[in-house]
This record gives sequence, C-alpha cells and structure tokens, in this order.
Amino acid sequence: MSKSAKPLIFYVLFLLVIVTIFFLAVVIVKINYEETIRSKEEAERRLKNENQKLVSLQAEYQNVTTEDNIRFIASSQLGMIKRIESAIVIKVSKEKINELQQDIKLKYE
Amino acid sequence: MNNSRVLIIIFAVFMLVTILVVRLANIQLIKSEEYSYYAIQQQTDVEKIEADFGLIYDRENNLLVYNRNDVTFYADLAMLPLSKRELIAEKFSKVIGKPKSFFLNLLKGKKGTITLAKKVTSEQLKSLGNLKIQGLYYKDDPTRINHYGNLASHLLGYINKEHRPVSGVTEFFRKEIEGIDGSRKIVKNAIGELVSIEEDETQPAIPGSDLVLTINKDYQSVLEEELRKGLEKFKAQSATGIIMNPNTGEILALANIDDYDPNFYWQYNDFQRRNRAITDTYEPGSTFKPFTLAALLDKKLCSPAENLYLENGTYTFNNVKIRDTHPHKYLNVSEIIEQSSNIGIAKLAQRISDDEFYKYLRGFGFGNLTSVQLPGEAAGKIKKPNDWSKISKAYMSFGYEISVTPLQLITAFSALINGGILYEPQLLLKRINHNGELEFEFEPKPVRRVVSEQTSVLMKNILRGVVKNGTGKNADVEFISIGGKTGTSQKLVDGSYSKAQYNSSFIGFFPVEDPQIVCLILFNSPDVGKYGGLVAAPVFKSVAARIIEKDFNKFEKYIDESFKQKLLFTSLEKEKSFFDSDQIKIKEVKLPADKRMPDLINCSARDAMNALTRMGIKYKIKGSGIVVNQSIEPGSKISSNEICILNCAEVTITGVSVY
Repeated sequence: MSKSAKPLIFYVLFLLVIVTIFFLAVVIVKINYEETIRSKEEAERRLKNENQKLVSLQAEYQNVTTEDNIRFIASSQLGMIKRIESAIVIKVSKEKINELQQDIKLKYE
Repeated sequence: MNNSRVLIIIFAVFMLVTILVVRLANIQLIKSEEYSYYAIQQQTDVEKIEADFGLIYDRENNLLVYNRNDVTFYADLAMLPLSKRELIAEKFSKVIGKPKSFFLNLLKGKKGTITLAKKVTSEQLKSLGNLKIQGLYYKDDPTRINHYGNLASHLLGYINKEHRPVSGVTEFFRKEIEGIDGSRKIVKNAIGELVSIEEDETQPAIPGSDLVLTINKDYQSVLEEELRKGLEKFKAQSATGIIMNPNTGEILALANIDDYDPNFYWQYNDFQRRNRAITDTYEPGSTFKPFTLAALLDKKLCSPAENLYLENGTYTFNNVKIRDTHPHKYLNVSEIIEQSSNIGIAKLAQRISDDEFYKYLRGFGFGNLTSVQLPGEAAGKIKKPNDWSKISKAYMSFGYEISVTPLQLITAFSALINGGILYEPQLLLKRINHNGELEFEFEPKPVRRVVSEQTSVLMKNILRGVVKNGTGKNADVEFISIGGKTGTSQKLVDGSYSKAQYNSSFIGFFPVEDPQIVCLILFNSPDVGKYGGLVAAPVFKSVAARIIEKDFNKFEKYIDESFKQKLLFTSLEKEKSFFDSDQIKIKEVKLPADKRMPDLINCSARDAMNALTRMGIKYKIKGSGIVVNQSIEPGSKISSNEICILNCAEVTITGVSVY
C-alpha cells in the first residue's frame, strides 16, 4: 500500500462516520417528530373531548339550576315547605323585654 | 492457483454487485413509480376529519343539542392474535357492560373485520386503558346529544347513523349546521397504526354554525306537559300544540304528542317522528269561523250588533241540513261566534261573493306553504271557486271542505289579532359561526296585510266574548284577558264524516288588549269530552296560566292589580284546596323499638327520610312537603327488600321555614 493511500482511506472512513452520524441524527429527529405529532394528535383529541365535556356540563348546569328543578329538589329531597303567609311580626316594647329578663333572672339565679 | 482463486472470488463479487446494481436500477429507475405508488397506497391514507355539527340553543341560550366525541371499535380478525381475544373480551365486558361471552362470540372468527363496540364514550375509552393490540383499532364516531330527550324533538330533528341530518331544523339548516369536513394525510405502519401525520397536507375541519332558535324551553316543556296530561285525561289518539308570538311570527313552542327521543330515534315509528303540526292537514271546524267573519267585517257586509234568525237549530240550505249544537232563535253577529253557530255563519257567508271569500282565505295563507324553516310542510287544500258546489261556501264558512295544517291556522289567526298583518312563521333567532360572528339575526317577515286594523280590533273583542260568555269559558284565566275560539270537527274516515271521531281544538291569545301569545291546542279523536271547549280549552287555560306564572315579569303589566298577589300563590292555592293546611300539624317521627314501620303520615318528608335511612328501610318519595300516604302500613313488619313509597303534598303551615 502506498503512503498516499492511507490518508485517503482515513478520509473515506471519516466521511462514512460523519454520514452515519448525520443519518442517525436524521432518523432520531424523524422518530421524535413522529412521536411529537402523535402526542399532538392525542392532545388534540383530549382537548376536543374536554371541550365537549365542558359543553355538556354547561347544559347540565343550565338544567339543574332551573327554577323548577331547584323547587323540586328543595321540596322532595330536602323536605322544604312553601310559605304563603308573611312572617308574623311580634312587637314587644323594650320595657317589657327588660321586665321579662328580670323575671327570668329571679327565677333561675 | 492462488491467482485463479482470487480471480474467481473477484468475479463472483463483481457478478453479485452487478446483479444488485441491476436490481437496484430496476427498482429505483425502471419500476420506481410503480413501487412508490404501492408504498404510498400501503403506508399512507387520506383520512376525513369530520366537522362538528353546530350547537342548538333556545332563545334564552339554554343549550338543547350538542356533540359527543364517541368512538367505534373494530377488530381485524385475520390480524388479531388468538391469545389476546380473551383479554379484549374481558376488558370490553367490564367497561361496556355486556357479557364477556358476547365479545368472545364476536371475536371467534378468523377472517374479516367486525365492529366490536359502537359509540364508546371518551370515559369508557379511558377506562379501557392503553389497548395496543395488533388488529384492534377504533375510529371517531361522533354522537349528537339532545340534552332534554323528547323536548322539542319535532323541531330539533336528529342525525342518523349515516351522519345525515334528518327532520327538524337540523335538516332544514343542514348546510349551515354541518360545517365543512377536513382531511389529513396519515402515515401508517404495517399493522395499520398511526406513525405520522403529514401536517402540510392537513386541511382542518370547519365546525358548523350554532343555531339560536326562537323557541323558549320553558314554554316548550309547559306545552308538552299539558298536552301529555290532556292526552291521558281525554284519551285522545294524539295532540298538537303551537305557541307563537302573533306580532312577529316567532314560534315559541311546538309539540306533537306522541313524540320521540332523538337520541334513540330508531326505537320510534314514523307517526311518532313526524312533525304533524306541519305535515298533517285537518278540517279546522269552528276555529275557522273567525276568518269568515273577518272577511265579512272587513268588507263591511255585517256588523257585530246585527241580529240574525237562526232557525231554531236546523236550517235547510240547498237541500242540505245545517245544524247547530245548541239551537237558537236569534243571535247577533258577535253571539254567533260566541255560541259557535254554524247556521249563523253559513247565512252570513252568503253575503260575500265566492271570489272575494276565496281571495280573503288565500290572503290568510290557506292553501299555501307558510315557508316555515322546517322540512316536509304540507300546503293544505282550498278549492278554487269554480270547483265549489252550491253548499261549499256555507260549509267552508264553518271550517269544512278546507284542510289546513295547525301551523297554517295559527299563522293566519295571528294576522287576525295582530292588527291584520300576516307574518311568516320563523324558528331561527340567530345563527353564529364557529368564530362567534353573527351570521343571521331574526327579523319579522311581514307577508301582506289581510284585514284592516279596525277589523282586527273588532275580531279581538268578539273572540274575547267567546271566552267570557261563549263556548270557550273553560279557557278563561281569571287574572288576564283571554280571547279565542273553540273548534270541533268531525273527522273524515273512509270518505265519510265519522260520528265517533273528532278533532277538538282551541285557538286562543292573551292579553286581548295587546296580544303577546297565541296558542293552538288540537286533540285528535278524544274518547272523553269530544268538544273543543271541553277538551282543548282547559288545556289552553293551564298552558296560559303556567306561562304567565313562569314569565311573570313580561305579563305583569297586563295583570289586574287585585289578582297579582293571588297569582304569586296560584300553585299554593291549588294545594290548599287539596289539603287544608289549617287542620294539619307537622308530627315528629316516632321510631318504634322493634323493626316495624313507623307512622310517617303528617311528618315532613325530610324527617321521614331521616327515619327510614336510620332504620335501613328503602324508600321512594313522590311529591314534596308532608307525607300524606305511605305504602307500608304503620306498625307492620318490614322485609329487607321492601320499598316504602311515600306520597307527599305541600301544605302551608304558619311559622314553618320556607324557601
């Protein structure tokens, strides 16, 4: 083998290594890119699902907050009762309250 | 020797390389296009991106229809490993809720692609976990959800299994609502899994526009509930109701009972799915009399106070007997409408010429499509004067020999009471595109003036008289002025008028002084009642009263002051009559020592529930307020599976907490 042949082989091998590294890098980037695209696709699907869930929850919220529904639940599940008469206002004078308080004191102290 | 061996090896290598080069040249140069084509076919696929359908709202922005992104699972049996089938069946059985054997049965073949599970929701998909099995894959299968089930089903329509809009506004506005599908190029591997997406060649889908309808969900549910109650009470075959704003033509509610649930449309028959308010015609009977009278008043051929001889209930006209249900000797023109006299209106109709009468009826829109934004509308039938017999005009004057759709009738009736202008009925209030831009906004569409304003005022007063003094008394609501007209028409069965089957109807409006609502109630063949005044009028009354109560702010100004306070407690008054509050005192629940049924009558529902929960007794509560009845007798022994049904009623008790 001549002297000048060595550097040529060296250059060829070096070039092959560079090309291989470049090729591997391209493959890795491509795989990563595809993975990212798939993740993006999955994320978009999830986002769409969540958006649709949000819309359905809005509809459900509107449904449960209707006056009819609140009245129904208040009466059937909470046992609340409608009132038709206005509250009875009992008027008691301050003097009378003091008098009653004195009576209570006398009785229990 | 060595040289020859080397030469042979070199030759062999040379040949091999040459063959490879030739093959490579064949692949890369000669057959390159062909192989590229096959590779693209196998590895890439152009996938459709389905556009989301637009959402549908009512006029108060209540969401009525939306989409759900379900998927459908498929299995390619040729590729699906036998060892994984058991696992798939088990997972699907757990999540979908069908027996394992069902899925194993589907998966037992060796060839072909089968549909494993349809409409799998995103939650179920999540529960299935990461099922990466060769030959098992899923595709998007969007589902349309009608949130309130049957509510307004005939107006909303549905999307069928082929993703085509069917019926209702969904079909009518299909171009606007369905959007534009997109597409994308995907790269798949040998087993069909997604490897990559060609972003440059992706065309995103454009979602459809959202529709805001003129209907009011509350009015719609009131109308449907009352029609359902009426259908049961009067044992009718079917019922139809429409509520409209007479001043604009906006349809506020439209219902046909029986109806259907668009989410499960395939479970219903054609009759249930048909929007009979626009597709089915009928002879309107006496609800048609106001149109005849309006034509006469408009032409000044009679006046409301004019008296007419009514032949004591039987009138022979051109050898045909016309009868009144209630015989009268004399009535004035207003009373003829109030008492719904066929003889009176038939006599009056003879004053107008055939052509004029026909012109008025066409003017009201009879025999024409109303152009409502719904598919499948019928035009009804009205004969031309040349085809009329000698008795046609008399019969038409009280609603026979003419067929109309309920929508036509209410549209025409609106013109009668709104000042005389016919409006096109409309269903779309707004259309908003996916960017939130307003594409369409409602504007009333006046078609033509049919009668003068003066005639309209006269008609309103006459129709008020029908409810106040005449056949429509059962429609009267004490706190607001109601006007309207009853109608009872014999049905044509096998070419002759049936004496057993009737269409009973009432068309009314309120308040008379400034009509805001017009409502038509129609019952098909009621077994109980028969007359419109007995069947449809009370249903109208309930609808009107409930609408006023729900939309109190809108109608407050029309309500008599003395009744306002009363109205606030309308529902309570009803309860009072059912259950006298003065005699009721709330009891405390006394729990028995042994496991026997406690006496819960007159206890509050809340206390009763607490007691039963504490005792471990299953229960169901019907109604609200105070227990008035219990299905298990107090003191009786309770078996573990027995359910106690508590009927409750609301009563008023002084000093009790309220909401």
